[in-house]
Amino acid sequence: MEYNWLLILIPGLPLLGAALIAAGAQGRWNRSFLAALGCTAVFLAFVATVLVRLQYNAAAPFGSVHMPLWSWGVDGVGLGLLGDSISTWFALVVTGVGFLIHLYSAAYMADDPSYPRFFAKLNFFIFAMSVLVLADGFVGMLIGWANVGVASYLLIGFWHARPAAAAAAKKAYWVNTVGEIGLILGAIVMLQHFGSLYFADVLPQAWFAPQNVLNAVALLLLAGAVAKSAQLPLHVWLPDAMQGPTPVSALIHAATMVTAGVYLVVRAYPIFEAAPWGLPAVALVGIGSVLFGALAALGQNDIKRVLAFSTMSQVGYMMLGAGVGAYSAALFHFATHAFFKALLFLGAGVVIHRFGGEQDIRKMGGLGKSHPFAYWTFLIGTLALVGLPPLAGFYSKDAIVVGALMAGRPWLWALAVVGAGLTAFYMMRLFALVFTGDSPEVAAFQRGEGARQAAAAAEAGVGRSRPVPPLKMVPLVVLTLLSIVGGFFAMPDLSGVPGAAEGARLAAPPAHEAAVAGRVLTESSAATLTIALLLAVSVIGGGLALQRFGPKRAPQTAESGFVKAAGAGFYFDDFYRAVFVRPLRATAGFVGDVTEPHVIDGAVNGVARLAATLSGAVRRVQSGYVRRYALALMAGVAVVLIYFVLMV
Amino acid sequence: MLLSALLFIPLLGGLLVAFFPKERTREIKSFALIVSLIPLALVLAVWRQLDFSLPGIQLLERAEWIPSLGITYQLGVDGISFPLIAVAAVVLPLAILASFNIEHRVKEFFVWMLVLQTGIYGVFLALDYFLFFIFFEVSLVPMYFIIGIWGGERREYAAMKFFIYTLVGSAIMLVGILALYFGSGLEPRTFDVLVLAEQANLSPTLQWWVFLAFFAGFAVKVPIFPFHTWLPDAHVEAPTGGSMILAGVLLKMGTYGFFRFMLPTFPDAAKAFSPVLATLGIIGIVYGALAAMAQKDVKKMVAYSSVSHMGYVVLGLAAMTPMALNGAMFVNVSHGLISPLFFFMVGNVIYERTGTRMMDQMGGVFSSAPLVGAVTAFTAFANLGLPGLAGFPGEFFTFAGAFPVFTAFVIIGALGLAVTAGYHLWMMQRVLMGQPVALAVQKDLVGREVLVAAPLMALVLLLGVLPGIALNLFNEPLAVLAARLGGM
Repeated sequence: MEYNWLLILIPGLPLLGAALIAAGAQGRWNRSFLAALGCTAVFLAFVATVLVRLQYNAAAPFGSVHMPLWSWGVDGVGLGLLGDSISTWFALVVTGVGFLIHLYSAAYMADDPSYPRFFAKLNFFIFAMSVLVLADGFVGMLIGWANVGVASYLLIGFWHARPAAAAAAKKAYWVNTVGEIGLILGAIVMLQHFGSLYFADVLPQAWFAPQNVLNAVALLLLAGAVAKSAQLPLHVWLPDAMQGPTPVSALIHAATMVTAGVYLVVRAYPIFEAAPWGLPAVALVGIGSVLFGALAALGQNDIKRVLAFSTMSQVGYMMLGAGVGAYSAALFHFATHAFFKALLFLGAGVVIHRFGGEQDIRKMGGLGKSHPFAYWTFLIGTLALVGLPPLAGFYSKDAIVVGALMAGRPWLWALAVVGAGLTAFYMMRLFALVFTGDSPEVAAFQRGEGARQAAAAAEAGVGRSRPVPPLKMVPLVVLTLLSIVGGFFAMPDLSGVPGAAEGARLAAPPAHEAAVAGRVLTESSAATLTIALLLAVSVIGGGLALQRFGPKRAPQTAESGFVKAAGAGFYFDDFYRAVFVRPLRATAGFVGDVTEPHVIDGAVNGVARLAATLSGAVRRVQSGYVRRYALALMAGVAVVLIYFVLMV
Repeated sequence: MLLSALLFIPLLGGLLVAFFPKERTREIKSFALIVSLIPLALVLAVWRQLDFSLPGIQLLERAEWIPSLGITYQLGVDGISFPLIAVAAVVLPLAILASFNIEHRVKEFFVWMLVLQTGIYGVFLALDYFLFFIFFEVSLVPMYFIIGIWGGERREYAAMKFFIYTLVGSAIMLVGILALYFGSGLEPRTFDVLVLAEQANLSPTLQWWVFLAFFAGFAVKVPIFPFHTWLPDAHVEAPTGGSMILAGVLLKMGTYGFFRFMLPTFPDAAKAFSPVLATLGIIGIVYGALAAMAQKDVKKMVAYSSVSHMGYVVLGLAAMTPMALNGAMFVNVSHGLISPLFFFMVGNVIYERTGTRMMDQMGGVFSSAPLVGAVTAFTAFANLGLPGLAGFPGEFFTFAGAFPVFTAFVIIGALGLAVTAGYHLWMMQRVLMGQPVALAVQKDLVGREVLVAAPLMALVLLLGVLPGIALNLFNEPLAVLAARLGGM
């Protein structure tokens, strides 16, 4: 407990880094130095996280590392930091993967004129995300929650002169505001009912609270989680968020920030478990997002948008895990997904640079021959995501799917298996289109197009034989290794988190058995069945994709109606524009153009005109004799006063 | 003596400025700034002397003035007035600093700015209705001239509208004050605010009428929907220094009137009126936000956002629970810091550089002037209530405190946050992002502008992380007030 101040360093160092870099950028300091500063701050935060985790391990299973900070002047509301099983698990991934992506960015963004600004914002994100996961109450979490939103806004809009980036940034923040309204109202209900917003006060009491309160809180918190984690139906911002630089997509919009919703559900699990509607709603959102994301990914042609919908789908698995009570499995999948999805995005960055900024996978191909390093790292990431043993995704995803069966929800289980098949299909499609077949130059040549076009295509692919620079290579290698061995890490458990002891004292709900389902994976027949099925659908899905989009792919034909709809994200954007955005704008326009000038001010002017006709004095005022009017009023007052004084 | 010094030093300074030669504009500006900084130093001294664990008035300064009419010169502070005085003491010098680019009739301008300050401090310090009313009116006249002489194109219309609105409101309030004076049943009669709050024995009917008369005066000042239409015009036309004071300080006179006079003196009428007040508050929040969203003029957008934010204060006042009152008071403070910063950025920085207030003619500030863009974005996020900055705690505690009383309104108000976020985001998209346009902001912030923005930004950040600093000032008096109102 003596070293609990180390907790402050985890958000503190990146915040300091962000401030220094911002100041340094203003003072035109050396760019490489500022980038190094950003990387160092996050690395030190990672070291601090490891030290906190070691302290926690010493205190586990029932202890935690706590650092109270400031009261907000109202009982039960204030800030502090808490290192326990859940928060240190998240913080390790946030700072660890965060550091790797900082390194990668140092190379990837090297040519950008706003290089220092990028690191300031990236450091700010690590700060906010650390606050989100380490806060010891809902207020601190809300501060982190909102500020990762700001970081996301600033980084999606990093190339702010581009109209598409500006629009995407606005959309992401706005959708998340809708979610935040849920969080704020949830916090208000909790404050009223529990008299506190600290986890240690609220969560143990949750088991004994009235059901309607719990239902309300659970659904309100879920609204926040759904928005931040890009789950159905508030997922619409995530594909657009790919307007941000690729390292941002890797860190914020794949590995860490979008899992904040999962963090919230697992952190507040006593509420979700005690609320009758809590877990079913979470599971429903989860499975819906698994299938929706996977289907939409099928129709995408932008490499980053495929990965974005894949993220939605994979976070859906985490939500599903939490929703069936398999919290450990959900946390586990968060970590493995962070490894392989960050790997895939960073790999996509290499691919995009190789093709001279092109992101359309239909215009790619044949990268395997010229770029074996990119080929192998991307392949391992893909297979880890598909869930092939012994790669990381196999263990974590299977633990979730088995958890669904163990929780007695065969329908969710079956749909989750279907989702795995779709996952294999869209990922292998992506992989095959980018890495197999002929390169665009060769393809152009074979199509018999003139030598000029072939030369132009070759021009676009300049540097294809240039080796990947070490700053990019190291993170890719480390993430590849983590994607391979990540499945052998010990699954986190929830003993010692706020509310767990009280929950355990109650009759252990079936969900708790599901939580350990991962460990008994190979012992139970249900698990064996699940594994066999998952492998089968993955092989079938992946095989079909390879056959269709692999080296012997058929010439491209017109897209079917379904693929078109999937490509358009099943028209959610159009729906929201028609149902929310346009009516809101119209209402505002009505207020601004009609009500305000004509109704309210009109009434005021009417009164003034009426007065003017009744009184010459007022007319003089309106022609500018205001001082005289003031004097007259004061005189009138004086007369009234004197009258009263004399009369009384 | 401390409070009297605080009160009259700006007036004295204003009189001294009148003796400066007209052409010595630099000296006039510097002198005005120094004079306006003295109250800030005195406020710090007052802070050290106050005990915020006590609910009552402290540092009382009292002298007989017109004994035959029961009029006294009486000043004092407590945890309700002190935060507003402190905000004024911060914002007023910064408004003067922001006005250093005034080149037209410089001497007069700074005389009015200093006279205005005495009016403002007087409103928050006076504990005698007669004295209060004088300051309430005194604060009106300088602002009329500041808008009317140094304002934009439609300055005369705006100044007149502002003046007539406020004057009509305060005239009705004056009738209320007189009715309270004569109807209190106290012998001898008195204008003493504290005595009247404690001992006035008004008949229920009279209490109602007096309450409504006060409401007329303060509702215009806040402004409460639908008495707000003077505000966008006044803000748009006022010079930046004037807008800063108007939004940061003058509006708070209205809500202060509720805290200091109306709720303690007419608790029964206030309770009976509270559903109406809450309804007007929630309409103000949502309607103000919608109107802000409709604006093409960025200064007008900020003006309507003030209408929306003052709606929170009104909702909190109507709910009357300790937490809601705390939240309302906190919004007073936070809006008192954020809105001057916002007006400074859009008025003094962006408008002065581009010559336009129309958002569709702006663009690309992030690219052409990064610091201007960063500070404007910071302000916008603070204003939309980002947790971690000062806009959030007040909103949160207002909603949390009002939730048990006006549950449906709080839900509507929370949904209104989406509109609030929407117009800020849209503004940033149009003004800050995109390609720099022909009228782009070319020059980044200069030293003087940094000096105006930095203190406000620091306080906005500080109060966002540690709202307890402010809440602990007024926790105790508001708890007493809530108990008097029979709240929870």
